[in-house]
Amino acid sequence: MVFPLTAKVITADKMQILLERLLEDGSVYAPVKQPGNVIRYALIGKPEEAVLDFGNSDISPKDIFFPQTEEMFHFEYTGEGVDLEARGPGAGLEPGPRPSGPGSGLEPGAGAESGPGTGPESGLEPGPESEAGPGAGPVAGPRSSRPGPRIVLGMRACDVQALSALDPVFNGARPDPQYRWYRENTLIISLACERARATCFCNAFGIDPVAPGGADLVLIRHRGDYIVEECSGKGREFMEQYKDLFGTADIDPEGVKEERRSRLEGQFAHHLSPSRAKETMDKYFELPYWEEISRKCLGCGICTYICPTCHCFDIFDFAPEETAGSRYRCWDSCMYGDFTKMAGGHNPRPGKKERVRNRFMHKIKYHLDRYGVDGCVGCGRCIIKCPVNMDITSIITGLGEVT
Amino acid sequence: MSQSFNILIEELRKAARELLEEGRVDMFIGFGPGTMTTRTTPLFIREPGGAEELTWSPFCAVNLTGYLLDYREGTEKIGILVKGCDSRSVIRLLQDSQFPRERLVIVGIPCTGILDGEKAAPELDPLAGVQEVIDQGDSFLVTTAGGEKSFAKEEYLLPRCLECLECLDAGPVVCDRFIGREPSRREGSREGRREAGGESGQEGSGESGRESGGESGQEAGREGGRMGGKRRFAEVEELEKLSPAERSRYWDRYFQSCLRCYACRNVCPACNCRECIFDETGTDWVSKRNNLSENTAYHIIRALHVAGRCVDCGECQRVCPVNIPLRALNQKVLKDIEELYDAPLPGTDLEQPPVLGHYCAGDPDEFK
Repeated sequence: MVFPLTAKVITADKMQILLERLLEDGSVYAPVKQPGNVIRYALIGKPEEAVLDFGNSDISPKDIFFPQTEEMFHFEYTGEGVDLEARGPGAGLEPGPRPSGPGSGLEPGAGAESGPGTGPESGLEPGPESEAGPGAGPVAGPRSSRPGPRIVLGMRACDVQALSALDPVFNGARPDPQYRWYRENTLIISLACERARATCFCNAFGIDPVAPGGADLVLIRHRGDYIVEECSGKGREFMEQYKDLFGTADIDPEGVKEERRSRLEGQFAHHLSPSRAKETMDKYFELPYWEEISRKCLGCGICTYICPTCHCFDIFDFAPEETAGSRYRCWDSCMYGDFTKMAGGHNPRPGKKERVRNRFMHKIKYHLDRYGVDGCVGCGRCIIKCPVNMDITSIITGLGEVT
Repeated sequence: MSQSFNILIEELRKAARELLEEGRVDMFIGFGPGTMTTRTTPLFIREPGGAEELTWSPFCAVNLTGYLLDYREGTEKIGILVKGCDSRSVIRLLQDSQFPRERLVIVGIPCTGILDGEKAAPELDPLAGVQEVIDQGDSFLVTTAGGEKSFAKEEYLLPRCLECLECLDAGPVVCDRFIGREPSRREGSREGRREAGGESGQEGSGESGRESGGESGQEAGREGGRMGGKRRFAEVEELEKLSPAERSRYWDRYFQSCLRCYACRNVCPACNCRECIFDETGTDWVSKRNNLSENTAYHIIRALHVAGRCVDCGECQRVCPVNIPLRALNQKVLKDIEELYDAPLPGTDLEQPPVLGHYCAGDPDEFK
């Protein structure tokens, strides 16, 4: 008789109860269906709003950690000087080296006082009540004014890996207090992929779609229920807190994962070599190729705004009153004409060629050179949404063939 | 009756090749196969040999005419492929002196509807590639290496195309060269279009071509170049029935999710300002903060800014990554233009001055 292997599991029914309890204890971000049938991460109010049977969200979940609009501080001229008041999450945190032993972030109320949603900027709060209108339901947004644990449910491996690309940018030697607050106070429950879409190419970056590194817990859907894997101290603490909802089953989790992996491997449409494209980029900055492929670019920001790793922002003051206002940080896009526009009017990236080249160089080369982490995770969102079929997979292939 | 797209593709390639060989154009803008079965991609050809890469199918959704603005400063002669809706944008650009007519060769192609690529995608092997498309009247039969699939137009066409096939005619309103047989034109909408052809006249316009879509189609056209099928403005009419509060809620839900990616603006051939007010630094007419107020301001300003210049190509709605029904905003303006000024859809007649861009001495002056 073979000794049975066991796995921790949560049944689909218990999953609903877990969500109910989590909603009582804190806030939950999950993929939801928005007006226009768009799948996007948002704070949910009811367990049934979470859409867990999905390929991937149309918009990446990066705004949970890096909101599109973030108030940084408020300023007011008092007559004698300027009063500054930090805003947003992490307002009390000094930018600087991270304290050793990051907090679990699971205690109810952690960071709640300075938590998100304390500022006046609430445009993305859950909006008008959902009595009428098409697709009534939750709306997207990074903010929660609720204390307690902050949980993201459903993140795919590519999107979890994307945080590893954002971390050195915002949470490196001089951590950004807001990003750090979001990262440390958010528990990530990843959902293993069940199929590879035609646009998926995370395999090109060595990402394991079944066991993403960087999640606190990974759920693997198996025969309608979920196998649960703990991946961090935070994850273990979470399991302990809600242990009455988890059980065990005679399942070999490694076997399930291996089977899933090989199934997905067979589904990937692309087997790309970003390193070959990078070799070309390392050698050549000027290539007629860029001129050719950039002609069709519309110069819109879709690819950068739905991308899980794009992280450019603009900082500006908004001061409706003469003596007071706030400094904001908002997403910006390198595809926009004003992105590199200098005060004197000079623009070092004056046209489509320079902008398109920069974006793809950043994805495949610059980020890797600078941080040792790939700047693309192969989620394929930009391929799906680009109105003119600018396809990063064909660019990776095309650049590899240039030399 | 059915028609294979492959015949049109051969004719299109021949036309583009000839234009480039004869030096009548320096560049031809058309469509090439996309990276997925249900996608095509804008193609810019400079060598006659490149014409072999051109394709044409009901997946050629992009309105290419906006690209003309990228070349308006140069001296290059451009050939451009247009569907009926795209041709209205060309007229609009010509009327606003955005591109010199003498540097432009307009190649028209009969359009019998564009499929909603996202909707059709799950039905086809995404990487098999299109081998042939046959227009079967009420449906398209798409053959790929992975088999064939029929797409009922009623179910799979972009909404803009269902309306167009019902009451507009899908043929280009201006073109120098026509690919295939010119589609039949309904009597109602034919007026005022004959003169709209370009300098070199229309080729192959002798025969009456395919029959139109039956009786409902015949009834649909109104007199005097006015369009009006049952579907046209149906969405706007529904929205008009809502109370202001309900309507506000409807739009709030959508505007809240706007990413401000500006794809709707960038794809729009009516957006030809050298510097868009949303790009002006320093003035911040609309700030980069993404919230309901700023997003609403963006969309309302844009809708009113293109009023009288929007030709209803519907690209703004197609490209929106969060599926905001943007076309309804523009259609409200178009409906008002028809009702208040009794003017035709902008871009349908080269000789007709822009409805909000000219005046007559006899105009009523209600502000006296």
